[in-house]
Amino acid sequence: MNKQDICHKEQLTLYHYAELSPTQRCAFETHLQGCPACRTALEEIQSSLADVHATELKLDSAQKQRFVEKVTSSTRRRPLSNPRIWGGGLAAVGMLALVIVSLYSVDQTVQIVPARPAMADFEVLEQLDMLQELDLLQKLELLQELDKLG
Amino acid sequence: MLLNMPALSIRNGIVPAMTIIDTALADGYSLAMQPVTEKILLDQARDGQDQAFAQLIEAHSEKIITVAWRMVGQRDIAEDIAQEAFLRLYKSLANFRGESSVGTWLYRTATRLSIDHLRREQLRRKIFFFRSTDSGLADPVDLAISPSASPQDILLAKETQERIQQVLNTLPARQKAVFVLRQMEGLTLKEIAVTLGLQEGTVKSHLHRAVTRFREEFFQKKEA
Repeated sequence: MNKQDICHKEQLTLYHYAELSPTQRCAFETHLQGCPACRTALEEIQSSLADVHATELKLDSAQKQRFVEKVTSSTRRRPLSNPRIWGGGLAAVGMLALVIVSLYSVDQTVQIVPARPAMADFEVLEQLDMLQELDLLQKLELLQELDKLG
Repeated sequence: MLLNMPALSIRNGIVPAMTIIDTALADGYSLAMQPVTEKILLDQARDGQDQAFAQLIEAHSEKIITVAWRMVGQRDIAEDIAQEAFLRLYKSLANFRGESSVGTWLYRTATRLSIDHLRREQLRRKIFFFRSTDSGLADPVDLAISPSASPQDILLAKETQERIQQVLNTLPARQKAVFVLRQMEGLTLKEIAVTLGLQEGTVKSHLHRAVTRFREEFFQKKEA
């Protein structure tokens, strides 16, 4: 292997995290023996990451309870959308629409428009639910525009 | 590892006593409860039983707040992110098919929400020239130091941790996320790719850039 292939810097990181395949690892270790630059770079990686530990967060039962209450109080403000209710409502509306359309169909000039399936309407309503996120997106867009203006 | 969890056992007669199985999943998140128990709680939550949903929150809150906290560095924001993840789960209950466990779903949602937060925060700082007001970053630092350490050790550890946090804060959102998930959460590259919805090659590249930047900045600061 030529030097360009071997001194692939990404391999240093992958070697450090033991993410190289056994074959790659073997080849890289052979390369390390003859490449002081890579050895130094590897030592620097190991040294700079040595103090980066995962800090543990422990919640006692009171803290957990407080968090549970915080979330559940929010869920009460955002009632669970029940698809059965929506589905039932949409089916009723669909039926009503069909009745009206069939009444008008007596008159030959009126074209009968096939009713949309209830599930399609349900999907539209689900998408409407996503509009709650719109204010966040608008904020982000505003920030991006401001960024462009410098 | 099997543990009894009294806080989650028989509560208002909803679910019988349960056990926690700490088993690593392929996508990096440990099971916080047995799948059968989880399914029962999900069904009950779908039927509007708030207590069942509360039990799901209690089982997963620590892990979800922790991952958000490691990514954003501030406890209050981490709790807000975790709260949003649980609210999204609540809203998705009707459509939750159980293709992944609740824990995995929450973990993914929380990490992605954390990335969104970091991006917004970085953009805001860039625009409004915000100085780092993250005094909250001292929070993880304080928790990381052993109370039995000498004052000198505590000072040194604090300085090191502050330096690490400063370097971490310079990383772009995705790089930071990949770095935190690999270095602190111990996820494999494959698991990170699944969690963040990225290609494995992209994850490798992010990790390498993060490590390189981290190493360079850490050494610069150390020398300074």
